[in-house]
Amino acid sequence: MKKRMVTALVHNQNGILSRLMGLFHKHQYRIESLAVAVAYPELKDVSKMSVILEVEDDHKFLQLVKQVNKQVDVLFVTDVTDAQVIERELNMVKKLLV
Amino acid sequence: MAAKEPMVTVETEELNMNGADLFIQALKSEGVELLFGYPGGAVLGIYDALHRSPIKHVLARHEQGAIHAAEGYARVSGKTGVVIATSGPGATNVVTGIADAMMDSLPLVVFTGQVASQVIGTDAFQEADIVGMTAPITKQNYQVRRIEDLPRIVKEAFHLATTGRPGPVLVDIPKDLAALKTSFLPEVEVNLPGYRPTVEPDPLQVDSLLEALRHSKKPVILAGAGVLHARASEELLAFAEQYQLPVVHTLLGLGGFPAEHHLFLGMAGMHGCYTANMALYECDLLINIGARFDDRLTGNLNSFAPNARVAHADIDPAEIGKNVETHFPIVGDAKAVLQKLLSREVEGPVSQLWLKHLEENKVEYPYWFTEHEEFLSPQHVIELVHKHTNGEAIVTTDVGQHQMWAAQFYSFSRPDRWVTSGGLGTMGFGFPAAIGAQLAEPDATVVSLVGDGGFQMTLQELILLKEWNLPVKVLIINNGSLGMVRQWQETFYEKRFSHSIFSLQPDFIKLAESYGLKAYKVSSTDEAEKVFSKVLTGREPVLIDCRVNPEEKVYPMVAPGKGLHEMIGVKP
Repeated sequence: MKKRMVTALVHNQNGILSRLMGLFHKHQYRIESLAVAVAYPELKDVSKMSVILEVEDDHKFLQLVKQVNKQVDVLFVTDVTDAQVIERELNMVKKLLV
Repeated sequence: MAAKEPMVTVETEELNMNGADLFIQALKSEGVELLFGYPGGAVLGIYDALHRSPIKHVLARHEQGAIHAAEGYARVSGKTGVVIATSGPGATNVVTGIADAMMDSLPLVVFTGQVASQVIGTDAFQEADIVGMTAPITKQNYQVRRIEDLPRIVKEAFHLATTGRPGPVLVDIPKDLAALKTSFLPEVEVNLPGYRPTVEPDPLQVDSLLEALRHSKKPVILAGAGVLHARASEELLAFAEQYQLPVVHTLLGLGGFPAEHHLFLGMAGMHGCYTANMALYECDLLINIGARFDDRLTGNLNSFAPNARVAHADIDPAEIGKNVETHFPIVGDAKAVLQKLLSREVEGPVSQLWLKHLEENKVEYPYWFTEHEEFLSPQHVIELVHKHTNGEAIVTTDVGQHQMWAAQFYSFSRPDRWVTSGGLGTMGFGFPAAIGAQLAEPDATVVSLVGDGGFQMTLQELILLKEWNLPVKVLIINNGSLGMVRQWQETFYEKRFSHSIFSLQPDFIKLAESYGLKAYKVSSTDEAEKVFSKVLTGREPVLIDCRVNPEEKVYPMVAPGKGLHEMIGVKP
């Protein structure tokens, strides 16, 4: 199993998230991490979506990427697994004051 | 489609139009002349506006009938099929048709009513999340939230349905929007930055295919429905003739290449002919134009075209390489691809040995069936239909044995004559689709070949033949069972006919008569010959109950899991 990370710029239409997640579900992928946010303050109707999942068959996965790219509201999608990207994690700590 | 009306005519009464009038105006600006639908609570406003408009509306008796009719209309006319259904059950009743249109790439725009905006999400009366439900089976879907978005969304819906790879688009309209007063009539332009179908192929991709063709000794063209959608039959013929390339069709592509042409090998796939399947198995270069390598076509992928380099031209890049490894991918519209191929002449591969081998196969292994004295053979029925309609009828079918016999024995010589549910394999499709086909071409002879099972799923639409004066010929290939299910049970389940044989059937003759139609029953070749010669090309609707041999099977066949070269039933 290899981890793959794809990012997609999507038109922030209602329902686009469930549409895309439906595609992952249909192809039986379990999503390990998903982050969606408005990425550019000047482009409020565009969201950036980053997905990490485990992939057995690279060929099948690239077909799925094509299916995602085909969606009308997806501006473009990139498989960034082997690219140089900055990964950030957010650690939330809840501190109790006694 | 009628000449498109400009959207902006903000003059007299339109200043005070309501949302429903705006909707009708948007339809008119798309050139819509005909709607298929069924009214209900959530679309009352729209139907009220429709009442005032010149757009014709076909009132089906079930929403499934409406949407399959729209599919038949779209397939034959090349225009967009437009459907209106109400919210909740009305909307869910069109789901099958949407999935069918998605699988077979038919341009549809489906409008559903939705409960009023304020109560969406409360499980209100007749509420269904149709946008959520249809996301996986639409090219795109929308819920209109603001009245001012309506013209843009309608325009986008028609644009998406018809361009690139055609497909269904759903637009959900909350009830309250129809009543809103509006004078907002913006000139809208389609602006979809994420949607840019590639129509023109990359010349380098085309060149690499031609280079491969130059070295090929056993080339074959596999032509799919993409050729029909792109209206590229002439180009396909020219390309095949230029290099003397044999042509194999998919089920849905039939008619894209003339059946009587010496380069035509026949249909390939599970019930395709030996020659076509063996050509795919033996070829060294497979040129797929507009087919999607469906599993019913390829059989076991491990032994599909094992010695071939594969070229795949498709308008949808996601189809290329999906099922079969592709050496020469070409993204583009079938017509544009073929034109590009034709514009660059190379030394042709014409391999006489290969053509001779295929010709010998054609002679040696044609489709076959055995005549029985006591029974009418279903295959013979199809042959007779072909004879009495000069091979020029529009033929619509459901899924199953009758569909395969029609594909095998009705030799299609021109595009737009074959309307069948290929991808989804929908029972109940064929009869309403014939209604749409006849509305698209009022002067054509339309024959709806249906099984006794599938017909009973949508037969309530019979009334439309009378209501709209449609001379559709309904031929029930009646074997008293779910024939294909029965065949599989006989072959793979040791003849355990679990619920595939009907113990009771309606009297189809009386049924048709109660809808005001003439009806005949034929149970021998002589009777069929007599009745067909009398009524098949007439201008009256008619139902013919053809009582055929209940044990007849569809051969040849590629069993599930087997390769195309392992066909059974190739010879009697």
